[in-house]
Formats: sequence, C-alpha cells, structure tokens
Amino acid sequence: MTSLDDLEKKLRERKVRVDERLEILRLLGEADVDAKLKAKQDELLRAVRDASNRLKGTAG
Amino acid sequence: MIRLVRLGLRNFRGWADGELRLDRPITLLVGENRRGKSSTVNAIEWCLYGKEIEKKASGIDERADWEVERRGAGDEGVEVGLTIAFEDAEARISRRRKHDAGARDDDELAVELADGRRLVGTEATQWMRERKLPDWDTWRRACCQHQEILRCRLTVADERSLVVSSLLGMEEHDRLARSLKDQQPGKLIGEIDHELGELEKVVLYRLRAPSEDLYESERRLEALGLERARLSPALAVEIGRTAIERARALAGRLGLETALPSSNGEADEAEVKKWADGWIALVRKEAKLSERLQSATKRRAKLAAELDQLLPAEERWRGTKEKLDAEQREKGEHTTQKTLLAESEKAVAEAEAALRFENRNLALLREAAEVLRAGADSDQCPVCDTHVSGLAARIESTVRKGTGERLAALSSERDRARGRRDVLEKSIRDIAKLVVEEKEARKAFEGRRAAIEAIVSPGRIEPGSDLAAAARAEDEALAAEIAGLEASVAGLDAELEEHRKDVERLRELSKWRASAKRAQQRADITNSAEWKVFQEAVDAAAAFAADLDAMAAMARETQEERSAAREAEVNRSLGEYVRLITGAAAGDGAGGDSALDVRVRVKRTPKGLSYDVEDADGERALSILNQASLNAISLAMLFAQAEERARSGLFSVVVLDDPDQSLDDEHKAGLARAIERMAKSAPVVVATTPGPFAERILSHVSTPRRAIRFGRQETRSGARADIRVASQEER
Repeated sequence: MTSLDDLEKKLRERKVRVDERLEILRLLGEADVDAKLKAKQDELLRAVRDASNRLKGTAG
Repeated sequence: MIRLVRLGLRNFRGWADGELRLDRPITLLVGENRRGKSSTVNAIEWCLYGKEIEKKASGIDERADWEVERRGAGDEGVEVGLTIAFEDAEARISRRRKHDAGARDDDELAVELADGRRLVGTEATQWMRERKLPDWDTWRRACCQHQEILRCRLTVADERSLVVSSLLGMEEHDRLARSLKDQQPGKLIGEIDHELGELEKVVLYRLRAPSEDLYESERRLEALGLERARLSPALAVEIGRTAIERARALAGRLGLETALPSSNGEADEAEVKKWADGWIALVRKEAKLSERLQSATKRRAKLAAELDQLLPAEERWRGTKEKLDAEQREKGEHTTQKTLLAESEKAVAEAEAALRFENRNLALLREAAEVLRAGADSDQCPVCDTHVSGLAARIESTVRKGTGERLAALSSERDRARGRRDVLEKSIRDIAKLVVEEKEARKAFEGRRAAIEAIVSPGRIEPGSDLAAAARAEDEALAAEIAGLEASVAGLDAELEEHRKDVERLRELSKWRASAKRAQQRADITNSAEWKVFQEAVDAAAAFAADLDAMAAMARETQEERSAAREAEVNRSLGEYVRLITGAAAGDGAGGDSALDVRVRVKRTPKGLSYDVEDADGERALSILNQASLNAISLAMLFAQAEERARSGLFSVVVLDDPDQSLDDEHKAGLARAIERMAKSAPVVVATTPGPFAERILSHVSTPRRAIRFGRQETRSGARADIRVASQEER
C-alpha cells in the first residue's frame, strides 16, 4: 500500500469527503508535487485577490 | 518477482561491445581488479539513471572525473540496454548518448515493450515510474552496494536516517509528509486573512460613506421643512404640484402669460425641476416690478430735488427783478439814461473846448507881453504898430489876474461835467448788470419749472395752476406708487422665496434619492455576484489550505503508524541478516558481540520523524564498531531493504560491488548465505574477485546462478584496454 493509499484510507476513516480532496491526492501523485502544490496555492490566492479587487471596484 | 534478463553494452567505459545474460537469481561477475566488473555494475545504473549517476550529481565523490564513453569509441556513441522480465512481460530499457553530446544534451531514453511499442523520453520515464522502478536515491540506498559508500550509509547521520527510512519502506511516506508539511498552508490562510482585512477596510469605508451622505441630505431636508418620515418620491411630486399652484396664482396676479407644467407623477419630475429652476428669473423678468419701483423712486427723488430748488430760484429771480425795477424807476429808463449821458458828455466837451480857448488866449497874451517886453516901445502894438499907453502893463495884468480866474472857473466847470458823466456811466453799468442778473435768475427759475413740469404727470398741470402744488401732488402720488410697488415686490419676493425653497427641496430630494439608492446598492454588495465569486474563491483557497493542513497531519499520522508497524518486522529481518552474515545463531545475540545486536529506531520530533540505528541498550553502537562490522551491518541493512521492497511488490534488485571487503572468512561465508536468501526475493548481481567467497557462492549456494568471468583486458593501441568476458557458466 502506497503512502497515498494510506492517506486516502485515513481520509475515509475520518469520514472526510474524499472527493473534494482528490485534486490534492492527484497532485501528490504527480512529479514535481511541491511546485505543483505551491502553484495551486498561488492560483487560489490569485483568485481571491482578483475577486477582492473586483469587489473593491464594485464598492467604489 | 522481477528478473533481470540481459545487459547489452556498447562503448560504455571499458566495454567496446558485449551482451551479458543476467537471467539467473544470482549473477556472479568474477575477475581480478581492473577487469571491468565495476564498470559492468555501473552500466546497469547508467542505463536506468543516466546523468544522475555521473559526476557530483551522483553524491559519490569518486565520480567527479567519471567518463561514460569508451575512449577511442569513434562516433558511434554509447548505448546500454537492460532487459527486465516483469511478471506479465519483458521490457528493454535503453539509453543512448551521441558521441558529440554536450553537457546540456539529453540522452535518448527508450523502453521497448513486448507488444512492439517503443516509448521514448518522458513517456519512458513515466512508464518506469508506473512500474515503480526506484529513483536514484532509493537505488543507491536500497538496491546497490557501492564500494565508495558502503560504510558512509551508516556513519553519516543524515544518510543513515535515509537508509533506515528506506529500510522501513518509509521513503514515500516521508516524502509525502515532507511535501505536505513544506507547503505551509498557514501562509495561504494568513494571506487570505490579510486580503479579507484589506477588503473590509475598503468596503466598509465605502459602505459608510453613502450612509453619511444620506444622513446629511436628510438633515438638510429637515432644515427645509421636510420631516424625515415623509421623505419619498411621492413627496417630490407633491412639492412640484404645490409650487406650480403657487406659481399659477402669482402669474394671475401679475398678469403674466406663461405656460406651467403639470406634476402628476415621477415621470413629470424632470420637467417640473427644469421649470422650477427657471421660474424665479422668468417672473422677475416678466413682472418688471423692480424696474418700476426703481423708476418711481428715481422720479420722486428728482422731483424732490427740483422742488427744493424751485422756491429759492424764484425768490432769487424776484429779488433781482425788484432791484432792477427800483433802479430803473429811480434813474430812469435805459433810453433816458443814454440821453442824459450824451448830454453830459456834450457838456464835458464844451467845457473842455472853452478851457482850451482860454488857454490859447492866455498863451497869445503871454507871447504878446514877451514881445512887448522885448521891444523898444512896450506900448506899441507889434502887429498894427498902434501905440497903446500901458499896453504891456495891461496885458501882463490881464495875464496875471483876469485870465487866471477865468481858467479856474472853466476847469471847475469841466470837472463837474465829467463827474456827472461818470455817475451816469456807472448807473448805466449797474442797471445793465442788474438786467443780466435778472435774466439769469429768470432762466434758472424757468429751468426748474420746466424740469418739474417734465416730471409731473401731464394732466396734473392746468394753465395758471400752482406748479409747486402740482409737484407736491405728484410727489404724493409717487409715494403711493412706490409704497404699492414695494408691497408688490415684497409679496413677490415672499412668494418666490417659497418657490426657491421648493426648488431646494426638489434638488435635495433628488440628491436624497440618489444617496438612498447608492446606500441600498452598497447594502446589497453582499448579495452581488462579485461577492459570491469572492466567497467561493476564499472558500476554495481556505478549504485547500485546511485540506493541506489536515492531510499533512494525517500523513504524519500514517508515517508514524506505518513506521511503528514496520519497526519490529524490519528489526527482525535486519537481525536475521546480521546473524547470517556474522555467523551467529538465532537467539544468541550477535555471536557474543552484543554491539552487533543493532536495530533501527524511529524518533518522533515536532519537525517530523527521523531514523537511527542503535544497539540493544538504546545506545549508538556504530561509533565503536570496526570496518568489518560496519560493512556487515551495512550489507544486512541493504538486504533487509531489498527484501522489504520485494515483499511490498516494488522493483527490487540487489547489486553488490566487492561486498566482501574487510570481511573475514566467517563473515564471507555468512555473506554468501545472506545472498542466497536474498536471491529468493530479488535478483542479485555480485561483482567480486576470484577466491573463496566467489567459490563459496558458486559451489555452496543452491539457487540457480551464473558466473561470468572477466579475462585480461586486451590493450588496443592508443586506447584503454577493452573489457573481455573469458567464460560464462551456469549452475
């Protein structure tokens, strides 16, 4: 059993909605996982900032 | 269990061309030093890992000046192919490097599959990953015993920890836990919090601003007499209607003919507002009350000024006239005065003529007297020669007495005539002056009258009527008109002031409605599509961060659970291999040498798990061991790892390069036993020199095996000697 299998098993044991974590599990299974996870975090943060800026524009 | 099948080599280090069969559980590469055993072992690594095993990238110091291509190989390039048999099929992994390849040029990695497919580059790499071939670090820790790093796997703490991690099968778990931990999702959460804070500052500020505008607008409307509770769009319609009604009444009173709008609903609002803005100016322009008031006031002021001057002007004229009349009565008319003056001037002339005559006579007498006195006979007339007794004396007496008196009388007469004339002239001048004065006074008086007549209304002056009385009547009329106009202007101003307030009310109501609308829009921001997008973005990022955090914690848990579960099993396997190699019987420690009774230990720290090797008492035993013991333990750990990988279904091969270094005969025998056990789980390739160890493997081991003996290398001119296989035998 791989480490990802173990992790997925533990997620299921904790009744965590595994489907919502599949993207992380998928990234963890790919090469350059560190860079990809960082890129994903950057992408999510960028989305927050873009939405925030649009909201500020609307408020103004 | 996987099997190695064959290894093909061309121009790799000392190899010109060759193919070795590796299809037995044990392959023994036998040869004296410098016969090419290590190069053959390295060829397997190079085929799988390429540049990773070269130079400093390998992590092996001795590789600093490593050359892959055989010297004198020409332009054929290097190629190594390794055929591996998996449970389902065979595959040939090959790596080629061009002769003139630069440091940045990639090798050509290819995988030829049994079904005829040929994968190259990243596809080949991906296939190897799917087949769970170990990466280079795992290979050098769990599959291959290099001469260069045999003992450092134990003596260097970090390396030892990694080796033990590999031994426990924890590499993936460690890597996963490290990857998740290194993500530091707390930073993402911090960034989101920061963004929320910034947004809150901006949005709340802007939400508050229109509320303040609204409050100010309501305050101004209250000052304009509109209660806050009544404020509504309908109120604007009502105010407009009231203003129009008031305007209609005013227009009626002023007689203005102007079109007025209607205010029946919000649709009329713009038109009403436009009309209201211009109404005051329109009324002022059309009514002309101010101009009329101004004109009447100016007329009245001018009339008053003229009236003030009329009486003095009349008095002055009348005084002048009376004075002139008196003067003329006293001194006569102008003609009389002129006649008297002429007479007076005649009298003066006559008196002067008489006086001149007398003076001539006197001069003649004096001349005659002189002549007589100068003559012989003073009594003889010089003209007629008549002798007149006493003539000279008589003449002189006449000159001296009688003529003198006569001259005095004549001079007095002349002076009196002159005096009369001068009085007359002065009287004439005075009268002339009085005439001028009277004329000017009359003109001034008549000017005042004309001015007043011009001001007073035409019908008010009757022939012979009193102008001043008419002027006073006019003044009273003007005063009445002015009072009336002032009342009208005041009334108009009052009405227009109310209208002005209505205009302000309408304008402020418009602002109030705009502020209220903006405030409502701001209040609706949390219902906007942008807010929803923002919330979703925050939720997604926060969920991802939370997931990373939770998964990091779970990965750490699985890491601990798995390592704890594996610890005893690995220690049992490690202990068995140590005992096999050292020749100690099971259950008696390590043949009396308790220091060799080593076990791996998992250390749990806040930063993560670390691994070490300890003796039975929990002490760090390695520091007191000799090289042979270190080699024995290092090999035991390698076997235990390979066995664990094989048991876990991972790709497992054991490659040993001179593993019997520093081992005594007893340990070499033990190593041969360990290799035989190992070969039951994974193929083993052993490179060693000819001797008892090689013979023991060949003669005492029951597992199928092949011995490949390397002969003396043939030296070529100008190039390194080529590796040569002398013989192969199977048992």
